[in-house]
Amino acid sequence: MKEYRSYPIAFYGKGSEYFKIQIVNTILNILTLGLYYPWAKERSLKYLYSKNTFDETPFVFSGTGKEMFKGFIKAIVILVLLYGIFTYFAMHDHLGIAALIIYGGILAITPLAIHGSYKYRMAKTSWKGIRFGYTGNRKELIILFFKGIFFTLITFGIYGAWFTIHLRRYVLSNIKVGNARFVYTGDGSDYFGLNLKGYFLSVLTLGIYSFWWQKELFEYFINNLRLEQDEDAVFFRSMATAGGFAGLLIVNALILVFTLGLGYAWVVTRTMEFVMNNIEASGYYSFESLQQAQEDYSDATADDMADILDFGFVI
Amino acid sequence: MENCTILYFDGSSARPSQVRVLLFNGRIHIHDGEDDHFLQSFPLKGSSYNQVGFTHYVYLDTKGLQYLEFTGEHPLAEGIAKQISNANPSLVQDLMRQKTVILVTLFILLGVGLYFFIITLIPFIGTKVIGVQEEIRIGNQLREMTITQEATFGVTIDTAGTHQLQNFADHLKLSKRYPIRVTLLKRNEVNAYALPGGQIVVYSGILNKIKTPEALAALLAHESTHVNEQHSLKSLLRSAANGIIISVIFSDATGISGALVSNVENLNGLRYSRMLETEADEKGMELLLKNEVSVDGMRQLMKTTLQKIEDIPSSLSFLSSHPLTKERIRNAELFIKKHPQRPTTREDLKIIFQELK
Repeated sequence: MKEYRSYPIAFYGKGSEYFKIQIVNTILNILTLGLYYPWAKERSLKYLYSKNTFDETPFVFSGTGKEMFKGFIKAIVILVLLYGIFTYFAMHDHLGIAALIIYGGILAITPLAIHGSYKYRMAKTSWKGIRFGYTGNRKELIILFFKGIFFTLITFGIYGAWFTIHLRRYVLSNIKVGNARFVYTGDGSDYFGLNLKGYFLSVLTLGIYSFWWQKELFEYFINNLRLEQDEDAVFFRSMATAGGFAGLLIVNALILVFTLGLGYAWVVTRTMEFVMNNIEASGYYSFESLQQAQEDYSDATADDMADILDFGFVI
Repeated sequence: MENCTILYFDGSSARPSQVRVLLFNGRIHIHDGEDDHFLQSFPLKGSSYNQVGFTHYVYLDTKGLQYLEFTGEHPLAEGIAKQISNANPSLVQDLMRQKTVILVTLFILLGVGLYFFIITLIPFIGTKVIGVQEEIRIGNQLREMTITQEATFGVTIDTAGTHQLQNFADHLKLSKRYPIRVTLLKRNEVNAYALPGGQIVVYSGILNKIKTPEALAALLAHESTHVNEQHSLKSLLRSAANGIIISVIFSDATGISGALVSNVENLNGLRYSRMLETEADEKGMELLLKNEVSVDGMRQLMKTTLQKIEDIPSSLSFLSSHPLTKERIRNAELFIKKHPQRPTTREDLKIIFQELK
């Protein structure tokens, strides 16, 4: 018999442990002149995943340095080619064409990077031995992306809110875990109103309201997300407060400033802890009915590309 | 050998089964917990381990889909991490076992070494690879960009003044390799700077403060030394090198050392800049000697143009891009003492200077 229950979410990572991983990664990066980067990424992600738990079971990241190294090289070749063509035109005083190539190129790469990056990351994420998967269609995402860019441009940015939500809805609603799927139900108008209110109140209060704004954005992300399979679902709810965000962000900034950046590991673990401890999950779902259903995917090119271009992973 | 009951996730569903595990010959053998029949065995090599709170996890394959879960009270919990670690030796594991203090020391030593190596190597190679013509082209492009940028703040070129200042410069032998091209901008700030390939930008603010042709010759000689010694190009290449260090080598998730390297570079860049300024003063004075212009021009230049600008306290001199004015005047006086000249006046320069004023 099914019963309504909550599923604890927590992060057990420690700043000191993550710091050690980061230091070893950096040492090896220095010794290899940066070539160790994909293996460094593997170690960092494996640690962070392994200390994140849902329903008292940790996540697993199974991507390997070797896969990411291959992707890294391919991504570098593509970007070097792009910058090469850009430099050629820039050096020959065709600045207009050069700008078009670099902006156009990066714009064209973006949806491909989002698609490939989700495909790789999700295929390499598992929980209770069940693989995640991203089942979005590349063509659909490209159309969605360019339509969004076009309308955002002609509405002088106003459509940006709808664009973000459409993109988020598409990507998140295509994430599966085994035979269960995530659903995101955010709406462009709500998101626009939220940002409009957040922006003006932040300006009026000299930035103080920005913590409430942050809290509402986080809430909007989490509260509109659910995991479902047939008639069963798990709902997510944010418990974060504006005060909590203020404490997190201010202390994080102070850590970075006073350690000259060396305290970055603590910034990451503090943030993860804050995020995970402030999400509640509850519903009618027995995870024992999860079945392995998603395929493996090992091409990390897009994931590395997204990394190099510094796109945030979460949309 | 351990014989025990634990949870086994087989990677086909999220429903675990109870199993017994036997550990021998470098493999993990799994038996059904109810009827004891053999299910599967996995090599320790390739397996991995995680502990969260009191719960232990042993991942049996590299994909992490098949795993065992048991509590800390279980006999298998003792020593399993070590056995897995021994079966999967690696340099990283060895490093992870070191104390954090040792790792931080190693990181600092390597980081500092690499930083100085790259920051020296790239400008060195760059200046060798980039030819004079290319440098002139870069300089011209930078000049155009500078003028466009200044124009956005309402600063314009003083065309007549530029012409006369160029005439003044042409009467001096300032560079063997580069054509010296001077631009005078109508801006009150007391400043002048050199771009690669021979471009010198002078603000009317500094020109108004200069009272003698010798001081003006000293200013041009100082800036020409920046050109001749490729200081601007070296500085540009240095910041490019710094960018490479941050983005390629220390790029680990925007992390740990990017900010540190930036901070080090900010301070070290200033030290480097002071070093270049001192060199430009010294070689500038040598240029004055060669042009038979009184070296006292350099002292005058500093006294009239720089002394009124407040220096920061000497204890904070490491935060300045230029050496302290007092120190620069002292160096100029020492140079004058070491290189006595016959009192001379360049009449040609004097005439142009008067026209310019």
